[in-house]
Amino acid sequence: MEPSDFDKFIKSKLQEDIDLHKRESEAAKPFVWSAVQNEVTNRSLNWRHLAAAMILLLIGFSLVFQMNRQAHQKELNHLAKQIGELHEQYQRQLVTLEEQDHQNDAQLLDSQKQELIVHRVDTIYRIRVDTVVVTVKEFVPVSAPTASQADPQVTENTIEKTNEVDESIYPHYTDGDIKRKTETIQLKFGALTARKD
Amino acid sequence: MKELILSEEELIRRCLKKERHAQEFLFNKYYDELYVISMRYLADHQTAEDATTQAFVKVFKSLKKFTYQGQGSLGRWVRTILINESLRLLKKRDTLQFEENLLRVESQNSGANALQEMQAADILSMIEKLPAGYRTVFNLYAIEGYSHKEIAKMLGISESTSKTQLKKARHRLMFNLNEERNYGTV
Repeated sequence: MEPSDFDKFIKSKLQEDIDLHKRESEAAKPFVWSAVQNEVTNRSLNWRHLAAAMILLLIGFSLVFQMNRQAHQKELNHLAKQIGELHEQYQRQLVTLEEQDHQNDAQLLDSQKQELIVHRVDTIYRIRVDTVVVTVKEFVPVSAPTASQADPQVTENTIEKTNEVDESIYPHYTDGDIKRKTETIQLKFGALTARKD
Repeated sequence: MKELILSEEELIRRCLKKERHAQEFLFNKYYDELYVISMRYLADHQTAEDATTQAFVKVFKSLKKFTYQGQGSLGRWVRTILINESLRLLKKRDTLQFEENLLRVESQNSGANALQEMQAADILSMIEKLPAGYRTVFNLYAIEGYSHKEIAKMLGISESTSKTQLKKARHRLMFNLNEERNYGTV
């Protein structure tokens, strides 16, 4: 047989229906198809999965952010409440301290009552001085005198230039607010010496 | 499942639209043939399975580049992809060895009538038993119809090597066929 005829013979034989590997090919067929499908649709599946993952991630982050924000707000409210309570406590303590301070001042003043002995010719004076505590209950603002009330020659422009202190500008107290308590004890030595003679 | 019967043009059009039924129809149409061809080249079921899988993947991915040229052109294109994939796997396995020296070969005289009685499955089995180099060149030249120049370019060998491999392949096949005829069931 010529080589070319041999080739033709083999080729024609192989074009017949061959069942040599039928069993193995049928067994492998579903696996091959599954592998082909996975490879071919892999790219589109990835995009879909990626999009779904991004959306889930976004929702997750939003939830976490919202929860964080709420927790932060809650903490702020709690801190504000605590500050309020501390402030009230502080105010109460301040009032208590002021009262104590007043009491202490009163006690101090009591202990500081002075007695002075003053000699005047033949008389010895024993003077007890009590310090008076003035409690200002209300400020009475006094406005500065207008130019017409004061020196007529003084205009409003010149008032600012003067350095004189006008006592009427400063708040002053009426006599009713001041408690003065003084006690004077007089001793006359002349009377005593006359009795001896 | 309702069986689809589609022309090649319609089949290509639907496969490009990624219709699953059309893809499955194309797969079923060519799977058996491609598996047998890959076995002829690779002579190993596992590798043949890999080659077939990769060939179909390339078919579906490259289908948009295919230009339909009449009845049968799709089949030829699919077979070409499979052959290229089989050769790639052969080279990857590094079993493709080509003997450069042409030994003196005693020609075997086989009666044509006797050979006609051989079964196709037996002939295919004998081709698969050939060494990888002989088998590849014989498949490409005798069955696929490539020239020695084309084979040399595809396999990265010289034309003379291709011719040598072909002669040795024929000699070995004839010898095996005679052995089978003389000592086999035929």
